[in-house]
Amino acid sequence: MSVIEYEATLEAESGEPPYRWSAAGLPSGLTVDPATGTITGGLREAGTFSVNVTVTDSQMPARTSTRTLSLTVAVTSGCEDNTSIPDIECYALVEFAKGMPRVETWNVDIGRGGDPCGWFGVICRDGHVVELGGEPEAFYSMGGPDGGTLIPALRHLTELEYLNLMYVPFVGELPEELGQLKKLKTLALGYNSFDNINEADWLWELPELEGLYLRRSA
Amino acid sequence: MGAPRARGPIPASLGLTEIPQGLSKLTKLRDLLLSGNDFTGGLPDWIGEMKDLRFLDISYSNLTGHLPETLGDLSNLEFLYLSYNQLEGEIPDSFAKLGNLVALNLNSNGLEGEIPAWLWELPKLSNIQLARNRFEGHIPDTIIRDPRYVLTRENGCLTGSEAVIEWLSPIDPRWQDGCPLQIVTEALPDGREDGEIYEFQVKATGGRRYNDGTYRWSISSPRPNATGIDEKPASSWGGCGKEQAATGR
Repeated sequence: MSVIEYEATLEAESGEPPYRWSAAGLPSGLTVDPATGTITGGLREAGTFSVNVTVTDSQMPARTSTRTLSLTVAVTSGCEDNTSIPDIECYALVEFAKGMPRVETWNVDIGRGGDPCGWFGVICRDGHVVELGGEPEAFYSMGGPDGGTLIPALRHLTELEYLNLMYVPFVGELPEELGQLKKLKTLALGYNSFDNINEADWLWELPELEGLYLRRSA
Repeated sequence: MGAPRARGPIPASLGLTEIPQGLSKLTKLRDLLLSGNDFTGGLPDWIGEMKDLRFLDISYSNLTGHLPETLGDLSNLEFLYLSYNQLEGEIPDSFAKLGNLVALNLNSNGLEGEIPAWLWELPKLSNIQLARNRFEGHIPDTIIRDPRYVLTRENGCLTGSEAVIEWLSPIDPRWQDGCPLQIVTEALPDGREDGEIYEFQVKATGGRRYNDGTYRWSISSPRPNATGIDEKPASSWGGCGKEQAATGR
């Protein structure tokens, strides 16, 4: 589970099941399943939320109980100053950087506070990240001697048009979640070492793709 | 002293093993770079369906087989890089339709046959690299009037005027291996006979190196009855050489 996915299940004592659940004041992106009481979704905003949870049981007449729960969504470290883009996009960048060990050792500014639109390799437009890795060798060698890991959270950059991940190199899996980046026009994956590159059929379902760079070791 | 860190080469990627047919679903694709992979087989015919392609690079990829005729359907293609593969056969006639082609690199394949005369006439083609194949044919003088980067060394016998060779020699020391370039003169210079070995004004930069350490070039007339092909040690003139000694007249 990615840090930005959330799941929690409410429980009731006594009364007569089955229960019906409702909740008011959830952070945007979260919903509660009325039948199971499970709160799920992707966290899109930070803060402390007062959530009024109501449970109704199956007696005749039904009994209802309401409690106020406090739910704190901690801002991922590095996004404290973000006002430029949706927090979920900022989280995606922070997570992405965690997959490249030399981002930290080389003091690259991704995820280190300030405006994420000013971070190395990040270009924003209209409040979204639209380019990542614009320079030809932007993330060159940032995977370190053992290679980096490409984090699936990158899928949250839903407005991304340009993604250049050449020369990191990444090893292991090329996450199929990147197939959700339907606005990609340019995708450069060359000089990495993805072991499932021959099964990445989602590549052919990116409708806007104009440039594809799969030079070995793609 | 810290613990020794694990260091070593990144595990070699498998790379792509075939040119994925899914590519044909990417109808907006303009730039495609697949070089350096280890493909099984050759260029598929469906590549001609990717009509928006401007840039196609599948060099260093172990491609076999022929250049598909359908490549000629890529009317927007500007850059075609297929060097360092194992492609065979001739340049397809359909390439004459590649009116937007700017650069063609077929270096280091097993291609053969005449270099088609129309190839030199493609309106935008200014970078033509055909070295290390088995091509034959004539390089026209037009490459001097309309300067182009041309690389043709290490092919079958290619011919061109002295002027062409002089034009090409600084960038293409073609007398290295195999059958080098043959100098063609429109008319024999005054006082020369067919097959006569003579010096001319080319500052050759290469030459066939022999075991005795010398470099040699030789020349001949292009006329069918000219059989005089010889080699001479030389340091400042070039021409055509073949491996056999002169047969004389």
